[in-house]
Amino acid sequence: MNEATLTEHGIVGDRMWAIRELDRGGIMSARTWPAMLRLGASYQGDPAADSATRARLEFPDRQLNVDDPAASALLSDFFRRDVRLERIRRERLTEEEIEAITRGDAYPPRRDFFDEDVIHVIASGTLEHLRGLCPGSDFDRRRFRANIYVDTGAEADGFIEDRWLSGVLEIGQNVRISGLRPAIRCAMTTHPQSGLPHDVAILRTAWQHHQAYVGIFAAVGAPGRIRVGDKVALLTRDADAA
Amino acid sequence: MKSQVGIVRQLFRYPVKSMLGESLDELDVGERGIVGDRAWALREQNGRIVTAKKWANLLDFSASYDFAPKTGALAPVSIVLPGGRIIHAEDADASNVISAKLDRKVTLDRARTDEHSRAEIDPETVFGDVGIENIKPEFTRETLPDSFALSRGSFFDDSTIHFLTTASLARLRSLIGDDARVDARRFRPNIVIETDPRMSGFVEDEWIAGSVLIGETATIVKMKPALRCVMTTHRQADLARDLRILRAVAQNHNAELGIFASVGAAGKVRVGDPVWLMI
Repeated sequence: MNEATLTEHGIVGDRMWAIRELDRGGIMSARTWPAMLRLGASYQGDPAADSATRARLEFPDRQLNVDDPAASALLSDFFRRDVRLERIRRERLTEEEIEAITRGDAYPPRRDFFDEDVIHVIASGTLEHLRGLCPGSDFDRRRFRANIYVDTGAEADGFIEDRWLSGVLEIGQNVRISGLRPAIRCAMTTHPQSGLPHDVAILRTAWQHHQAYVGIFAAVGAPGRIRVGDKVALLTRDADAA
Repeated sequence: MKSQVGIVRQLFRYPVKSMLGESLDELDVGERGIVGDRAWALREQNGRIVTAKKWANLLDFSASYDFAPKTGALAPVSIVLPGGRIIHAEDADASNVISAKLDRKVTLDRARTDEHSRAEIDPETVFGDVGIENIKPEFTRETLPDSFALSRGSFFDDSTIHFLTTASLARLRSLIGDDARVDARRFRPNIVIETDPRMSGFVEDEWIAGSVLIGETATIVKMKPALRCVMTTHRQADLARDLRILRAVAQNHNAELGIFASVGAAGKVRVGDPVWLMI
């Protein structure tokens, strides 16, 4: 999208829904369920401006609203096992929900579905660098599922985010991204997805040249609204003091 | 003699020991303390309980119940990690996720009824920059033990209830200066009592011989002064690190502020409830 709102809990609307596998009870990840990447989801409106805006689930052959009662059944068909769509909950639980949880009949609704930190950032220069290391592979940014893709221009002489780790990123006027740490990658980067083939060289190249770290995980140091085209500045401790 | 000494201004519960807790309008005072208070704690590999007395960064975590816990039916606990992610204490991987954030191997444990654990302290830092001889004259840096026994059957340091008054906080503020953020949260009480503005000083000193009734039925008994430590000086949420807090308490009031106590009779307490002293 062109704009996003960041709070201390990440980008509003990010990883709001997940699929639970009902046989073992775990939340599914494309890490182990590559077929998930054949599904898509997008909001109709801006969840930060309109909390009632609905997300659309995109199957290869149809679309439906994520809160459609048929969604879990269709997903169960798709995965050929019993699954259920779940939404994060930050608001108060109902008396019925509390009773079910207390009886042990229900899971407490998850507060978020993040595996790591709430923000993931990647620099264009790092992908360019990876392309140079393994020219046969398509290091498309979609393989890395970042929230924020920073265009670092023509510079492509290394893993650019390494130089950011002790600093803070300022995006636009107010937003700050802090607590930067290297993001370790998994098999998900190698899975096929729309227009991209299965390619184990993606992870292998990252592992051979950078211990499998690509991009950074981070926290929101100062919340606010960011837009495509906003300037991204690196604030180091010295610059902060000045 | 029974006289009103104030009203309840704030109530706090801390689902996980040494993490930030939750501010509430109502608390359930059970016979063994506030229901759900310090129900969980982090344990070191050596079995000892981790506290913010030694590891100040525990205060970067905050914990709250998803709904009100009841005796015998504790509710799920949500923990906001530094960085903004929210997990449940009950998650199978909660210990690993917290260990990764702390960069040390810990286990998130629930208090058992037969709990008799010790908590770790660092004798070098447990009283900030106040000399041990000024607070515990019977010890030196060399002889102060590096752990202490928690209250049996719980993760409480000492007593099951901790309260303090706005009069004591105001007195401390006047001793340090207007720029000091003498905030009740630094002392991690369960109950903050707003005392009559005409009362000043460390007014709890006069209450120790009696008992306190809050609201309709809850009574607080076996009161004793609460000894403070470096935790009151740590950075937390919007409060900056401030070593003057413990220094001033040590210099002016034997390093004691507020009251540790036990529950005499259980009951609900609410913000705004009258507080009575019976003496």
